[in-house]
Amino acid sequence: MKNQEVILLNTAGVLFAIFVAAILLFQWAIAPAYKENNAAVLETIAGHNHYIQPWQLEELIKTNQINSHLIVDLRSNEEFNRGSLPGAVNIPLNNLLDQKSLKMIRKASGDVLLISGDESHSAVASALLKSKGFTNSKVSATDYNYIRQNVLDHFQPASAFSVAEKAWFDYPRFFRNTGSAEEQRPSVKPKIIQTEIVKTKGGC
Amino acid sequence: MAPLIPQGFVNPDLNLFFAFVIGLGFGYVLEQAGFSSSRKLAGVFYGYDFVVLRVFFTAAITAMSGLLIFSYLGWIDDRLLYINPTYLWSAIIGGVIMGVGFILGGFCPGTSMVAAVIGKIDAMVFVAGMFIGIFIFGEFYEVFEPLYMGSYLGGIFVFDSLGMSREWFAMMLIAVALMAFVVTQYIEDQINKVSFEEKSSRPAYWTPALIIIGLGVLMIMLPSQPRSNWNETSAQKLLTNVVNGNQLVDADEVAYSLVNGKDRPLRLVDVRSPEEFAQFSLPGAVNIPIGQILENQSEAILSDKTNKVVLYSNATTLSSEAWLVATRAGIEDLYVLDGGLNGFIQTVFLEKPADPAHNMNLAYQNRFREKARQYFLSGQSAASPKTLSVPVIQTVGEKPKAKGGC
Repeated sequence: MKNQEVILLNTAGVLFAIFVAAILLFQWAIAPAYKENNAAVLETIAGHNHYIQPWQLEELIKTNQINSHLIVDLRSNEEFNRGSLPGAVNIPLNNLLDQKSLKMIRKASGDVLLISGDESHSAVASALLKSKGFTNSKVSATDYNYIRQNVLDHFQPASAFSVAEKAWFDYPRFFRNTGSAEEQRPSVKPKIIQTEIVKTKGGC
Repeated sequence: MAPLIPQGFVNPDLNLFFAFVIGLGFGYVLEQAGFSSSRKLAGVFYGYDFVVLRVFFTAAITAMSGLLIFSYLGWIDDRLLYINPTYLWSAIIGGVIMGVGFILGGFCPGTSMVAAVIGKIDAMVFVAGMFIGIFIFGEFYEVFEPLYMGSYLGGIFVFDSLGMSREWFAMMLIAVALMAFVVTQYIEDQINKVSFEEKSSRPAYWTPALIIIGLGVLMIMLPSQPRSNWNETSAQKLLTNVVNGNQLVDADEVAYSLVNGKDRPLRLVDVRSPEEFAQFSLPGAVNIPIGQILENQSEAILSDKTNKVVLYSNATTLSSEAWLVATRAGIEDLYVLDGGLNGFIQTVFLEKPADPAHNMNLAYQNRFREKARQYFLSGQSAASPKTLSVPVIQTVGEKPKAKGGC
């Protein structure tokens, strides 16, 4: 190969390599900055272990251990000012991922107890915090009003267990299903098409 | 034609056309590299011309690096790549036969086609021999079948058997290839008794070598995120959606879908455990327990583009968590039933009808809810959701018989 050809080829090769490397690094840089991968977060959620029940809260308050944990109230400012748990910090859900809030959460020793007007908000907040690498968050299994009434004001042992995700009604009473359950639900199993890839190895 | 086909740029029906065009290019490349000459091809066995080996290695490391890099970029889905399963003894014996045929005839199947097309008679005879051999194999298949299908090891990978990661194996293969280039060049020089002047006038191949080594190193250094991480939704976006409640659908919408199934059917997904699902579920709902929400089959159901997908559970907590995990993984247009089953029953069945005196919408709502109640109590709603299309997953089937080749 003549020298000029070689130089041309080499320059082209180098440019191509730089191009590829640039794309790779760019992709790596713009990937959302999660510390914990999705599967790990899902494992925590599916373990159902990250809830803190009202009776556990009550116990913490009674034994004065509540102060070693950080109570985060996710409701809005106005609601927080109207009344909250003693020692709670207000981080409206909107600002959960701000630098200030994350710094506060990072500095917390012990667990971070998330309380909100809606349990699903605390659940989502905990999952997001876990994705960001904060493994110490616990979700209050009941919303704030419930806690206010049943834990702080007067503790009722009967209602001390989680109401989150409990079936309040006997559903079949409202939906009469004629026939067997199998008949009712058309099985929506995904239809799996076997694409037969006939691989021919061409070449020398 | 990945990546163009998954990303939707190219119509998959054009597959054969692209195969033809690629074939044209391949034949051209082989011919202009001199691979229609049987003497050049057989040189790899006698040591005077290792071009075949060098081409093989170059192709291997280029394709390998390309696959790795593209799979990181998300341009190809490496779950769709077909790995030829290993049938140990048939591979070994077939290789021996092919090697003998290669030396004897001076061609391998691909290059014999190239040479036959340009008019070489010995290549045409070689091709005829190939067809006769294929015919014999087909006719006497029962005799060969135990060998052909025996010692099946599955789609194993070299790096798995050696216990190293994919990227390190790629780096190792690049190193081996570069060494092979140097060694074969040396052997060629010895056998051909190349003079010193000729050797020093050859261009040095430092640049391409460094490029491929650099790419290999880059592969190893990049944090080993699976491709899917780049499709993930950002945390802030997830949070904003939750705060605004964008992902919620209310009970009335679900009730409407159950009552008037054909009109706007929703794909209902129950994220509770299988036991709770068996005890009761909304008509037409599919059960994906939250622990399995990231599996491939679940992804097929959740990515259903034709119907709105609504996750539900007893309340909103579990379904919101499921929504978060699935949306983070990049699945779009997922919704959560606001209030869950509890809220549904509450709204549709137990809420006191609002006073419609000043508001027509409230009147409609009351009437609809009453109709819905009767519908559900009489069990009619079960009939509707059959109109939903069944999600289709394409998996790659194992079809080991079609081993074409060189």
